[in-house]
Amino acid sequence: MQPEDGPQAETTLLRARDDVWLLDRPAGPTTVVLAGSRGKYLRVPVKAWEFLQELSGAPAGMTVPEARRRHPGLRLAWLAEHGLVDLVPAQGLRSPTALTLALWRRNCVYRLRQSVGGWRDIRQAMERGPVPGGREPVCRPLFFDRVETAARLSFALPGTSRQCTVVALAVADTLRRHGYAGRVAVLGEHDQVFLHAVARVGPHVLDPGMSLPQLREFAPPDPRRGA
Amino acid sequence: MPDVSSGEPPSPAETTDHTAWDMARANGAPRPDRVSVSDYLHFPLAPSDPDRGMLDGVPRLRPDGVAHGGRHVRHSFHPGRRFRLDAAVDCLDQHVREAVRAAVRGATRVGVLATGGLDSSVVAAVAAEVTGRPPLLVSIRGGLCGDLESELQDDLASELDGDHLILDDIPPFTLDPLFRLNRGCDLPRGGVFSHVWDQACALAADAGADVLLTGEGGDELFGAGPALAADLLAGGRLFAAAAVLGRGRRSDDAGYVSGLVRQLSSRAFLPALTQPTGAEMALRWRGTYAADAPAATARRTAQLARLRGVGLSAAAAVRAVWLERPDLHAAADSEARISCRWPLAESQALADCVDAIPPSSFAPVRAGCQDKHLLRLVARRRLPARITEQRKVGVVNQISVLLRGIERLPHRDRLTAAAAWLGVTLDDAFWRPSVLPAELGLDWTRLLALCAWADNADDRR
Repeated sequence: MQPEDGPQAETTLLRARDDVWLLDRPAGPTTVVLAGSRGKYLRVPVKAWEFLQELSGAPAGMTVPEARRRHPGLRLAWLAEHGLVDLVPAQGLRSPTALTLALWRRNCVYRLRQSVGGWRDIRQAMERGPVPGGREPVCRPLFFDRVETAARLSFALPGTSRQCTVVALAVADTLRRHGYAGRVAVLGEHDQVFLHAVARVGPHVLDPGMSLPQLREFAPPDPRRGA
Repeated sequence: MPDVSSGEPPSPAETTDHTAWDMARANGAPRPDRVSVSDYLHFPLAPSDPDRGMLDGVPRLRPDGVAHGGRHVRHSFHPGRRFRLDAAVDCLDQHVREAVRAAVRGATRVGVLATGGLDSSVVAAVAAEVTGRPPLLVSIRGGLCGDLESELQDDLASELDGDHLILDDIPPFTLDPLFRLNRGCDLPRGGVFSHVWDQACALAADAGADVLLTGEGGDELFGAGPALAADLLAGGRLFAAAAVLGRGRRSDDAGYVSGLVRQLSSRAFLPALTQPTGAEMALRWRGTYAADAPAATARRTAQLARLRGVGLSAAAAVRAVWLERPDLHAAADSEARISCRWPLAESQALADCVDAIPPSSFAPVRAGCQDKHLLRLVARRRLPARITEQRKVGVVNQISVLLRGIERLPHRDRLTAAAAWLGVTLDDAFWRPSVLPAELGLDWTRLLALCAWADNADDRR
């Protein structure tokens, strides 16, 4: 890590972690939080608790100057050191190779399935909805960014498809396998030519950003399914 | 041809003593330059000869005082040392400030067109810093931006604590601003958005602003284009190059290898054209100039090779050419009520600074990095993360909103004579752009501007 990557750098981004549990109503000058990644309880000042509470409601995270302005005197390095926040340095973070390979494999599988079954997978995924018991974090965990980056990297590997439907299915599948309530959603309005399929977890949208939208299908109504 | 000049103040283009049209008339009847017009229709970002005008026998007349900062400013962030990203961001920060300072020099009240995107937000924040007071923010809504963009515009206004003007009633489509913009103009300007832009200019001028800034140029400077892949490949970063190049593959899943070959052979600056149906429609619009497409490709390749021969990378070559032609990409106030500037597109020093940054740091495919990463780093110093890091998802098809009532156009015939002079066919497909993909709307816009520009031929023949 370069010297400018630390929590003191202006270009560093702070992101909330979804495995940190905060006590609802702190009483007294300090309160207890559970850092799931470390598997331990920590006693933090209420000031830090307020910061974590605010950060968990900010899907885009918070910049260091913003955090300093809104919560002066906060020890960001200490919070990061104890696994209570994620730090994203200016040059970003590497996405795990295993995740990239997993998304590559699923992309190939769904590409094949789409070439055989067409829209069937998407329809089933949309009708199925989120997986019961899957996690729907309030904050946007950094893992979602890693999945998006892994999906982008997987486009460079042979055999993958960039169709948004295939990408969304692969991403949603990966999310479900990691315990999140991932589902497929199709964005679009009545006057748009393009429809765009993305993966969603609660309010969070996962879209690798390099996929191609699907052209709207003007198919005649199926008499077996009603008007 | 109806007279559109009665009762209107002269546009800046009209005040020029010798326009390309005047010179062409002096030489005889003005004729379109087939090569330039074809370049304009096919590859507006990289014309085969930037000095060649759109009229036969007339060189391009360059506007004065557009680019600043001087050419050949060489930056080096790693003289024998490891590249430091923070030093690069410092340098970029300084050049963005200089560009905005040059754009607002002499202005008493600054307006910024806030779209909710990163580029205009950075320009607005830097303008507030440079002038010492929050700029007047102008936002265009009325179906031309989504809910998320509207929220981001409101967030920016509350963050900068500035006045926020919102244009909610999109005026019906009219050709008048296009004709005003293109009267006596060297190159076609404006497009399908011009009438809305005119309304925004009027709004800002009425509120007391004397300069209106936009974030135009941010995509071209900071976005990772296909040329980046060639630079990464030359730098030996094979996987990164493949990752960048991979997005340019064909939409019909023809396969990675064939997509790669296609990309490398055409150098792929216009991914829209890789869609077969899109290309077919676009070629139909281009009328007689469609036949020149292969020749124009060869000319563009030669132009890029020439630019690279003097030591510029492909990305830098495209930037250099593009920066000389900002009038192709943004409209200006057709009634000259307010000065319109594009700080990110006007600074050559900023482009040189961006070019000095190694390709691997330019658009890293890493978690936490999004498109236009370097500009985002500059923005993080001034703006909250909800503005700088917010992802915008979805496609807003603006063309259908812009062209409401196109069938009831009273002045549709005004383009016919100009199109005939150009040799462009205005068939039924030309008048039904809303059923086509959004990116092809840009082709339609280009053709519309070209016809408005060619309307000058009738007056000066």
